[in-house]
Amino acid sequence: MNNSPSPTRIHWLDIPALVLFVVLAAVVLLQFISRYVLNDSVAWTEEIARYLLIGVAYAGSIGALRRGEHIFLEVIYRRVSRASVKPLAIMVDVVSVAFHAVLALLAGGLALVADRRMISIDLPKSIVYGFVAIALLASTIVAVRRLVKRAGQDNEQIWREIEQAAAGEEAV
Amino acid sequence: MTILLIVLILLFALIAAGAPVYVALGLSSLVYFFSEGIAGVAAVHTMINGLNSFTLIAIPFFILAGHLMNASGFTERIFAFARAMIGWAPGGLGHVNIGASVVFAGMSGAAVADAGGLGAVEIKAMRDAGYERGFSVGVTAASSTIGPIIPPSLPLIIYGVVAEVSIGRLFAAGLLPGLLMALSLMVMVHWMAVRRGYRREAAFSLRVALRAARSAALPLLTPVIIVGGIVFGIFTPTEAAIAAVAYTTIVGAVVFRSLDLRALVDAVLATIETTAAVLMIVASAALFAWVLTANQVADGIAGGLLAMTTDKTQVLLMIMMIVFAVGFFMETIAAITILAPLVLPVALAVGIDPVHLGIVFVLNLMIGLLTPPVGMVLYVLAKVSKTPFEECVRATLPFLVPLVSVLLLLVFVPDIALWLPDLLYGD
Repeated sequence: MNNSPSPTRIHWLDIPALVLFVVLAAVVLLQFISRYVLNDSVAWTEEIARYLLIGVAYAGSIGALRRGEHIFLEVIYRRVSRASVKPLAIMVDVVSVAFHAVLALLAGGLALVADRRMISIDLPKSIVYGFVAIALLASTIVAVRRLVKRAGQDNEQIWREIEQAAAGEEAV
Repeated sequence: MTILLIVLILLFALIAAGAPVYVALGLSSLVYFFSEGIAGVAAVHTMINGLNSFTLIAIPFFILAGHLMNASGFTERIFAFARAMIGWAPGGLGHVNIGASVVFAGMSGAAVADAGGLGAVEIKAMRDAGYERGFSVGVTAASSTIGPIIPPSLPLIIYGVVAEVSIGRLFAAGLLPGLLMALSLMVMVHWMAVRRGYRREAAFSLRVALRAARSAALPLLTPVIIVGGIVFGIFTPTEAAIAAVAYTTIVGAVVFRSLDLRALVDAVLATIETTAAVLMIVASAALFAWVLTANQVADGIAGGLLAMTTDKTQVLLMIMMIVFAVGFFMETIAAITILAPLVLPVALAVGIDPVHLGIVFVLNLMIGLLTPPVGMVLYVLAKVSKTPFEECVRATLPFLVPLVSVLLLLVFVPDIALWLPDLLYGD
């Protein structure tokens, strides 16, 4: 939890995750209030909250990928010669593009074949999978743009970005 | 079996090359699926459903509560309170640092968060008071590991979800060990302060202490609400987390008037980013764990360990060695999600309490955060304090002694962890 405020400017790609997060907070708060104040849990809140969390994770991942905030080990970049920084970083970006592209396809396939319905609300579970597929597709595009940007940078620039991202990392 | 070996090599190669941890875990698992001819749709289903848990919802809200506490000035008030209370001792600010971390541990669930938020406040205060840079970094790094042991704790939530253990029990089990860590670190600080002749802060003043207590009263209530609420079974972890968010928002915006809409949006955006970073690893690690299960790796580990000994303590020590070795180069969340299902069967077979295992497991990984190469706490503090990384590593070394001692004590005396949950929840 950095004291230095993170970028205040909201990028349009952050909006889906932001909306889902606010809805998630509202749903969990509703469950809380219905249990303690009304003494009677609303039935659908728990299941919907779980799906919203999945949405927040995959939608939020797009922004994290765009800003290079996903958790990674930068140790090797401290050890190798400056000339090896770019080839390594490019390789990682290629791998990232491939992973997100394959996963997006698989999630799209899952959305098409899944025929289960949600338990508390009569909606197909494919909505969740379809959303994940779209989020992964967006991640793929972001990963491609990162790769293109990296290709135009030199070793020194890439190293500075990696060092920056590693130090700003916050995890558990 | 050879495919599994290739998958493992690929995983470590990708992590070492600096690929995001979730990409490395996910991609190497996908390679297994494709080479074994298993439908990839099942893989993505496993990844998505790895997050399908109500308990995991506690994670974003505990993270958000932590951001809001920093943004509303809770952190500074708690530090000032700790300073008024224990600043008079030799090496005063070292003790203050540890004391503030204990209070903050009751509000936040992550070690790195402590290092970045409270840590920045602590290091600045210690620098202004003329402490050596290394000493400040060492105490701050070591005391930040108390955060995930004292409830609430993100790693313990993830362990509880993976191992199917009650979060309430785990949280209750962390309380005493966390306090013990603080005590052992304070002994170390005292010893160093006396030996190096650190000067004391101003003598204890009741008036200053009362004023600091009044200013910190509302923030100090947060750990009471969260820890008390969960441990005594009033709240589920998820409810406690949303209650903490509501409480900090109201206190920050209405009482302290230090939290405006802009700061709130910033906090939410930062929370989404951290949540996504953590949960994508949980999702990919669930997939990777599936691959390991399909290959009966847990049975292999159990067989190997049990062939050597069936003594409870010895098995636990060996599990700790595995955790330490993996924690050396793997990030906390991934290590828990992957390792817990692997070592749990053998632990249960020899009668180790899964709650006890969870506490030593997480403490072990926290110590790993203080050692290179992964040492994430050290990287954050190196940046915050503008100190070379190598110096941070050296400065933290002496503080590993008390932490490792507590870890060993916990291994040999399970009741330190289990006494409180057994008392509250029954055996």
